[in-house]
Amino acid sequence: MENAIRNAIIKFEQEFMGRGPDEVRAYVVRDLVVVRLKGVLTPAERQLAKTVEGIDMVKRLRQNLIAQGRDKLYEQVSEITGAKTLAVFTDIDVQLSERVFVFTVDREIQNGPR
Amino acid sequence: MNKGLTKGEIEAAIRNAIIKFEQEFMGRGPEDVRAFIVRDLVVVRLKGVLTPAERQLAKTAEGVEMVKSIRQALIAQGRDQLFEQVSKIVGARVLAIFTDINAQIGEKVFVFTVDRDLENLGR
Repeated sequence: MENAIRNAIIKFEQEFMGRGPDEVRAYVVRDLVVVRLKGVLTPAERQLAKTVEGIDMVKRLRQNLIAQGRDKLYEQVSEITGAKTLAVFTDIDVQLSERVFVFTVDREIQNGPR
Repeated sequence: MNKGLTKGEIEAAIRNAIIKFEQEFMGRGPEDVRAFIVRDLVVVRLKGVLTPAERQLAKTAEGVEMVKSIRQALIAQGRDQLFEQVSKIVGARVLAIFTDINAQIGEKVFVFTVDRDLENLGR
């Protein structure tokens, strides 16, 4: 399941955000799905992020973009986990070019056969 | 600091530190806080973080934006304190803090990334 989430996020970033991240890891913990992405910024954004003002701009742009793709993300995570997605939390560290998603779902997820 | 602490004990210590931080620095204790360690991540989920006035404000799209941006600006001020406290509890260096708030449901999440795998502590 973690692998399926990982692939869905990679696809989402590539197709919707326009750039595939360098590295993605996904974890299921109880009723949370945590995804950590590295290398999410474009070379132009990394350049922009060298000033405080640029960091703010990149952050704001990325937040607005994700808001547009929220429904699609909800749907995909719900489909993979078989649980209803309640909320998505996300933040980006522009200096590190890292991003985190946390999805909350309506039940504890059984993470594959044990 | 974490020598001898189990994963559960570290999670409880993080939970208490976050409650204290929210009470003392943000000015309001959350209703419910849970902390989880996953490999090199510390994930904290907080419920009931908004004041009644903020909840009222968050009933419009514009209000949601306002609450979100003030909360982000506030957390930026407390960032160093959070870095320090979490580093001390887990016994690893905190590399970054990610945080987001959902103003409609009054929930907030922190994700701390640290410089080593915390899963095998105390075993």
